[in-house]
Amino acid sequence: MGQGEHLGEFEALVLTAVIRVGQKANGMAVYQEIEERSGREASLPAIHVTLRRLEEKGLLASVVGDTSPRGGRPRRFYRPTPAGVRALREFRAMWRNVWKGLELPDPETLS
Amino acid sequence: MSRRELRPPVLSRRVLEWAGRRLQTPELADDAGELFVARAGNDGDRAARRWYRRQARASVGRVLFPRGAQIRWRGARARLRAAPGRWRRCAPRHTRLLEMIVHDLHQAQRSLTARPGWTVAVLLTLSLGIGASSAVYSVVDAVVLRPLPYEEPERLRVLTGWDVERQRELRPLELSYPAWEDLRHRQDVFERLGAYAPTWRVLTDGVTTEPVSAAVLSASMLQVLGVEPRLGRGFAPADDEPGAASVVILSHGAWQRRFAGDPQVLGRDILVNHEPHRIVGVMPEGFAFPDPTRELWLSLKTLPRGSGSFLTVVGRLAPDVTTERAAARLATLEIDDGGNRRITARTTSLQAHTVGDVDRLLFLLLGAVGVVLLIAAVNVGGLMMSRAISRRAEQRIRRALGASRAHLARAALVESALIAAAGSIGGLLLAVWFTDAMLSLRAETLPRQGEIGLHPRVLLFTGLAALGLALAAGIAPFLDSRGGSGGGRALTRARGSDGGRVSSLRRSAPVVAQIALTTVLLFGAGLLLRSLSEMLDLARGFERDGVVILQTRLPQERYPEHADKRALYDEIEERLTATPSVTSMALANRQPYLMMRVHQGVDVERASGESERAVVEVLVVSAGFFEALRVPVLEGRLLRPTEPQPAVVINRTMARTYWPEDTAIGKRIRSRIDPRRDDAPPATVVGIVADTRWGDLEPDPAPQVYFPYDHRHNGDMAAFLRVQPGATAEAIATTRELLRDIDPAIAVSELRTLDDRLARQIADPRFRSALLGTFAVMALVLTFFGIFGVVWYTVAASTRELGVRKALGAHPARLLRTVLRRAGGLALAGVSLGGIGAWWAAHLLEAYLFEVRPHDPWTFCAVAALVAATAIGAALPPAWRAARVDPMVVLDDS
Repeated sequence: MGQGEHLGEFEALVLTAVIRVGQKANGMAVYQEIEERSGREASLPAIHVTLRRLEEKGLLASVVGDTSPRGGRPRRFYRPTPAGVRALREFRAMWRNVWKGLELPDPETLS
Repeated sequence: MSRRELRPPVLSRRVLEWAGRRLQTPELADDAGELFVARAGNDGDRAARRWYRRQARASVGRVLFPRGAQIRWRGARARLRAAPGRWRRCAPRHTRLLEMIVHDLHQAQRSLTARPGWTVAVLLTLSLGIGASSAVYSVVDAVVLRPLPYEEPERLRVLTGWDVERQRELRPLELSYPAWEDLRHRQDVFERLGAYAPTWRVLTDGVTTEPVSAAVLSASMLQVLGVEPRLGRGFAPADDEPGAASVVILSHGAWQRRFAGDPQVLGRDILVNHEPHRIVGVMPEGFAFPDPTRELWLSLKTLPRGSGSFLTVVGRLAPDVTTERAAARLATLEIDDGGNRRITARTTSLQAHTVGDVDRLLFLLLGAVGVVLLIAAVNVGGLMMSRAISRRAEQRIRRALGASRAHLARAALVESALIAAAGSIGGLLLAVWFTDAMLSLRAETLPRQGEIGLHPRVLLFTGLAALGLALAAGIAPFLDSRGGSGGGRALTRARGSDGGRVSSLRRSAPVVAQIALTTVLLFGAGLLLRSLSEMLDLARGFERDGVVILQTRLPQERYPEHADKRALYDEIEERLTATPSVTSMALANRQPYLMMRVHQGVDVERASGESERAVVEVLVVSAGFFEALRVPVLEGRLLRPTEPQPAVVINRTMARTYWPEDTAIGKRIRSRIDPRRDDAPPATVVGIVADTRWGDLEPDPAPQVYFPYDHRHNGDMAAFLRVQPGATAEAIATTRELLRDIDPAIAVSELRTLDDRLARQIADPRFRSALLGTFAVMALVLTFFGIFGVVWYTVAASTRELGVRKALGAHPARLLRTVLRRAGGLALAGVSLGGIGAWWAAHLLEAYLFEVRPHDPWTFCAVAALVAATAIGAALPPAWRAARVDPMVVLDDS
């Protein structure tokens, strides 16, 4: 990862999901994880594209697994690289700093 | 739950597979499929399918905008509205363009539905213009432009004759059998020669006998055309030999209609002219040679070998022979046609021969409908312009807010495209309907009509017409908005008299052109309509109401002699007049309205006692003929059923021509009906009847001689049945039944009222005047709206001026007059220009006119009055509005 390059919000989301899913992190599993956590419908193509991009950036690595039980093409499984974990740590640190000591006002009191 | 039916939507799956390939994420579709199944288990099939489609749509966005600028249709529009300038700068270029177009489309749709009256006017104008022109073009394309449906049709030539001594073309060239054989063997420019002769036969299917249209083909004819039968075989040279078995080929239509498309039809026998013929082939659908009416084709065997056959010759040029070389070679080849003329052959293309002279009429109609299209274009342009002015303030606000000129132009273009697309759809629907209507008007006489349809070329034409109209519509407002610059005058109203001379000319020129073009069309249509009414009103000299005509084809072997036929006709008459619907029956040797006159030579005895050869129209009639058709007798008496001495009746023109001073009664006429009986005793004129126009549409009646129907005439006769009022249909049914009862071998070739017969004779003039009339009315309606739009626009644009004048004391009537005078000026200019055009265009119609001169002043005056009235009528509502302008508008915001 080049210096000064930061993770985007969606990239961080995908990267976190890969770590959470663990061994079986393929596109479908990541999708289900993100949908479950965020409570919103995600875009499967966006997840796939992002996974591929993260891999290009060296934040994820992948291996091609066995043929899927359905008989489709072989699945690609992702795992985070050290650089990926580092980038996510940075991302978390940044947001922690952002939130530190911040009291959000009650939206109802704002006109 | 059945797992089998649980499949993601096919189209979306394809999209996802495609997107997966493009995005290099190959598992996309598989994953989506698995998630789909999981979702269906949780949320139900419908929700899963919807989810799947959303994913597919999202994947398209990913492919189109890989850099992550997601396309969110609704969101983008909202953002655009909120802060157009900022957003445009930050969005990537291509996203912007697509979103802009979506935005523009939405905007266009909103602004069109906001003004329903205006939108309907534009769409109607477009649909009319596109529909009518596409319909006419589809006919022109199928009949004239498209090559014939044969192999390499450009190499097919039809032989015509050239009379060397008289330097005259003989068209068509019809050869006797020996001449055809001779020509076939001597020529060397054609790869192959074929010959045909149109004819008719009667077909018996055991119950009824009916005449059918047929053609005799040489064995080589189908090979020349390069067409294979759909079933069975074509004719072989052996079929042409006199002793060969009788064979017949069916048309696709006859096969379907008479044999229900039975594939086992080959080898069956049918009775053609009461003789068994074996079916050896069925032609493919659409094979219409020499014209679409043919149901059967027979071999050359059926033609007499002597001089009594009339063969038209079609040849396929050898590959290396040009038309010119063929002509040069054929000019040296003399044809023996049995007479003593010196004849050589020339050629014309089979296409031209098939189409005949209908192409002139069709191009004329295409020109007329082109004028309608032009008026429609001008009109749509005018409508767009009149709207542009009402939106001027809006445009200025948009420009002030930063919309570039290009942006406004694109918005206008998108709007035009939307209108043009809607108009073309309407136009196509109208074209289908209009084509049907056209064909029903001229169903029998139009060549190649089976090929008419919405051919791709017709759709291309429609597309081009729509594109032209869209451009006209899109450009017009710019002619106007050029003046409006930037934000300076943004929020002020359109200035009072902002046009000036140039702009006023720009607005009136199209209107004047419209009026002129409409005048030309109306004048042409008026001439044709007057011709048609002259034809209908032409005093025929006989009463056609309540008369049914019956033409039979008698089998010659059963009724060989006059006495046999006579006995049959007597029986028919006796039994028919016994029925309640038929009161009387008479016979004549020819039907009326056959578009031809049969002239024959007779010797007449002049007052001086000398005999003179006269060419007259000869009719052979039974004694009751004059009563049945109500032809009044002027002098002497009518023919009696039996005449002891040979007697004839003549018409008034005949009497006046040959015996101008003396009475014709008692004079003698010698018939030459049968040249072998030149020694027939001369007949005495016993009566003079009124003139009738029996044949062609000729304004001047011909001299006529009526011979009694006696033993010297052995042809089939036409019967005229006078029926009880209102019993026509019943009489026709009774007659058909009766004939079947008397002898099923009698074929009925015509059984209809004289009115129907006349309608068929004037089918062509009716077709011409109906079409041109329709186009003229369309043009008039379009022009009405055109004038209305422009005057309305002018009034709207000069509201301030009118208000000032009113505030200064002008009377409303005066303002009304001002506006109407302006419309009158436009009409005058248009009609004058149109008059010049009509004067010239009338010559194109000259060949189609009957009893009307091409520069008929009455028609012109009527047309001018109609156009002027239309112009004033169209200007009235806006003029009324002008008269009621409120002077307060002047004070308002100035």
